[in-house]
Amino acid sequence: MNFPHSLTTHDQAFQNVAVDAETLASLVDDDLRAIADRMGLGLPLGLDRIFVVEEILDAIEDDRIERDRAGKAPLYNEDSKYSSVDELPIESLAGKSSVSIADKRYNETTIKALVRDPSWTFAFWELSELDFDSLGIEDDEPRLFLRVTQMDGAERQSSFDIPINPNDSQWYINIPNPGSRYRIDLGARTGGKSKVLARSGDFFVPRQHGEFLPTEGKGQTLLELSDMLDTEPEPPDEDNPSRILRAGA
Amino acid sequence: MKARSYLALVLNAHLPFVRNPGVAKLLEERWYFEAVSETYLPLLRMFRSLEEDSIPFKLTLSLSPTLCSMFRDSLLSERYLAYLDSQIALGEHEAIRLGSDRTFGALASMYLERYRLDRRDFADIHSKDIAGAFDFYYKRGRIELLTTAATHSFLPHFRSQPEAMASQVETAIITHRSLFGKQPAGFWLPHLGWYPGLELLLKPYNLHYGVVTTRGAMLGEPVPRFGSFAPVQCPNGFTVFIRDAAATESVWSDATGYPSDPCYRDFYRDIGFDLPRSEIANFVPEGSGSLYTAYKYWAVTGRTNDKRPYDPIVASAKAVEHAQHFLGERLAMGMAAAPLLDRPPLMVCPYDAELFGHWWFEGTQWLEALFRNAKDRELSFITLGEYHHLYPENQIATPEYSSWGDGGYGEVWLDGSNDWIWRHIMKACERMTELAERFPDESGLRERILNQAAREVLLSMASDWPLLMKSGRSTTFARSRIEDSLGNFSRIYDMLSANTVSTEWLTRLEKRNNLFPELNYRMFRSKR
Repeated sequence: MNFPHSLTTHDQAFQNVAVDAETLASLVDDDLRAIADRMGLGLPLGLDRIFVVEEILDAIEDDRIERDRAGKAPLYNEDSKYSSVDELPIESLAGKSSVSIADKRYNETTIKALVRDPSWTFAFWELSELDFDSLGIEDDEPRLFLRVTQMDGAERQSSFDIPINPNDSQWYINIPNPGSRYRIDLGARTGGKSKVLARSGDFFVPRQHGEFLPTEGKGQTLLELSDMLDTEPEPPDEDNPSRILRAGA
Repeated sequence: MKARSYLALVLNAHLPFVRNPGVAKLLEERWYFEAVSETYLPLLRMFRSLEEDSIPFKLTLSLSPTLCSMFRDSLLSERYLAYLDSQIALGEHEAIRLGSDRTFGALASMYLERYRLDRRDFADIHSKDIAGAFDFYYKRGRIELLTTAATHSFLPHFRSQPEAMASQVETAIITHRSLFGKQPAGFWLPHLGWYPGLELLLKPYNLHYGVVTTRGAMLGEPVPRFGSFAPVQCPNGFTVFIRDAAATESVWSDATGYPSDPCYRDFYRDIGFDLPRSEIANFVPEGSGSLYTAYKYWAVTGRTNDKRPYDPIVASAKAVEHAQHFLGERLAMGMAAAPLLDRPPLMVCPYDAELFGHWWFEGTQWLEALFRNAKDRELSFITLGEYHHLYPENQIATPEYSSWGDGGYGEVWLDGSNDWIWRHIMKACERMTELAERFPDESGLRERILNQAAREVLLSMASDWPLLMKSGRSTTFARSRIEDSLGNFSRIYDMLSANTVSTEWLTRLEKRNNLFPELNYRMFRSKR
C-alpha cells in the first residue's frame, strides 16, 4: 500500500505545513476517503471530491483553532494545583550554554518513535555529521525518507515511505492500522539505491475501538452499568470542534 | 451488616519537587504550601474527627515520592510556617479592612481562623511531620498508602527506557520504605497511564495492583466480563482495578460535576486579583505579579463575572447533600450489578487529592460526609489492598494503552507545546545507563556525583513539566526546570568524561536538589 504521505505532518500539522489543498487535490479518491474516515468526518458516500477536500481542510483548521484556544485556558482540573503563576525562570546551577537545550544535537545517527495515540506517532531523529557528509546532501532534494513498516497483522511487512528534508528532525506520523506493531527506518537514496541509516525499536499502536463486545446477557448489562460500551471517541460538539484529538473517558 | 457493594476511594497526592533554597520566596513553593493548607491538613483533620466519632473510614492514598521528599524537608517546613504567618497577617489585615461588613468580614475571619488552625496542627499536633501524620492512620489500618513513580513520570512514554522506568519504581519503593517502614503493595499509575507490558516491570518489585481508566480496560484483551465492578488480572498476576466512569464524572467534570454547583466557593475570584496591589503588597512575595492569595469571597454562581458572595453554611449543607446523592447513585448501581456477579460489586473512584479542599474548597467536607452518611447503608468503603486480599483471583485480561488525560492516551504529554523535551530526556536516560555501566563500583566523591546525576535524570522525567507546557500555565518555570535538570546532568556527564569533578558545584547542587537521599545510581544499570 502506498500510503498517502499527506497524512504525515510536521509537529505544526495544524498550520497546514504538509496537508494543503494542492496536496489533497493530487490524491486519488480512495486515499482522500481514507483520510476523511480516519479524521472521523462522517461524510456521506459519493460526496464530490472537491467537498471532501474542503471538509478535511476545515477540520484541520478547526483543530488548529481549538489548540489555540486550549493553549490559553486551563485544560484540566488536574493542573489547578499549580495555581500560583511565575514567569521567571529559576537560576540554573549548570550555567548558561550558548546553545539552548531545545536545539542541542548529539552528533549521532538515530531515530526514535513515541506512540502518542492510535492515530499519531511522534518520530524524532538525527544524522551524524559524518553520515550527513558521506551522503553528499547539498540541496533540499528529499533524498532522505522515513519508511514506516507494519510488523504484524494482515499487512505484515507492508510499508510506506515519507520523503523528508535534510533540516527536518521530527514529525508526527499518522499510522494507518491501530492495533498493530510498527517500526520506522530513517533511510537515504543514493545512486538509485536505498540504504537504512537508523531504525527505531518496534512499537505497538493501540486500538481505538472495542472488539469482541458481548451483545447480550449478563456481560452486556454489566458493561452498560459500567458505562463501558461507548468506546468511540467523543463526537465534537459546537464548542469543541476537534476531530482528531478528542476521545472518551 | 454484610456489604452488598464496595466503594474504594483512591486519592493521588502529588506535587513536583519545587524546593529551591537559592530563592527566598519561590512562588512555585506556594503550590506546596497551598496544598498543605487546603488539602493535606484538612484531610488529617477529617481523619481525626472521624476517629473521635468512631466513624469507620477507609481510603487509599498515594503519596508521590517527590511530595514525600518535600514533607520531610526542614527548609520547606520552616518556609511553610513563614507562609502561614504571612497568611495570618493578611487575614488580620482583611478582618480589619472588612470588619464592619457582616458578609465579607465573616469570610475573612473564617480564613484567618483556618490559618491559625493550620499553624497549630502543623507545628504542635503533627510536629511538622505530615508524612508521619498520614503514617499514623496507615498503621491503624484506616488508610492504605500507595507509592507511584519517583517523579510521577508518564510511564507509557518511557517504554523504550527500561532502566529509567525501573529507576522510577525502585526509587519510589526505597522512599516509601524509608518513610513508612513498609513495602508498598499498590502502585498509583501516574495519570492512570498504562500500556500492555507495564505489569512486567511492576510485579517483580512486589507491587501487586494499580488503577486504569474505564476505556483502557474496555479496549483490553479480553473485555472485562464484570465491567468495572471487579478488577482484572494480567497474565503475570498484576491486578488492575478499573475506574468507575459515572463516579468520575460526578466529581471531575468541570461542567456537570458537583464542584460546579453555584453555591460552592469560586476558585478563580481571589483578592490577589481583585484588590489593588497596595492592599496586599506586604503579604505576597516582593516583585511577584498578580497571584492567588487563597482569600476568596465569592461563590461559583455561574458562568459570569457577576458573582454572589460566598456563604459557607449553605455550601456545607450542599456538600452533605452531594455526598448523599453520590452514595445513593453508587448504592443503586451496586444493587443493579450485584445479582450479576459472583461477589459484591466494587466501584473504584480515583481522584487527584488536591482537587479536594484546594480547587473544590468544600471537597474535604464532601469526603467526610461520605463516610458519615455511609453508616448503616449496604455499601462499605474498602481499600484496594483489602479488596485484593479478599479477592486475589480475577479474570485474566490486559488493558490497552490509556490514560486519564485529554484524549485518553498520551497526547497531553506529547504535542507541539512540549515534544522538544523528549529527545533530550531520552538521551539523558541512555547516558545515565552508560555512566552506571562505566562506573559500577564507585565510592566517595564519584559515587556522590553519579547519584546526583541519577537524581537530575529522574527530575527531568517528571510529568508535571510537559503538562504545564500543554496547559499554558507556568510554562517558563516548567521549561527552566527541565533545562536545569538536563543541564546539570549534562555537566556531570562531561565532568566524568573529562575526569574532573567540581566538588564545590556538586555540593551546591546536592544541597539544592536534595530529594531521594537513599537513591543508588546503580539502579540505572542495563536491564537488556
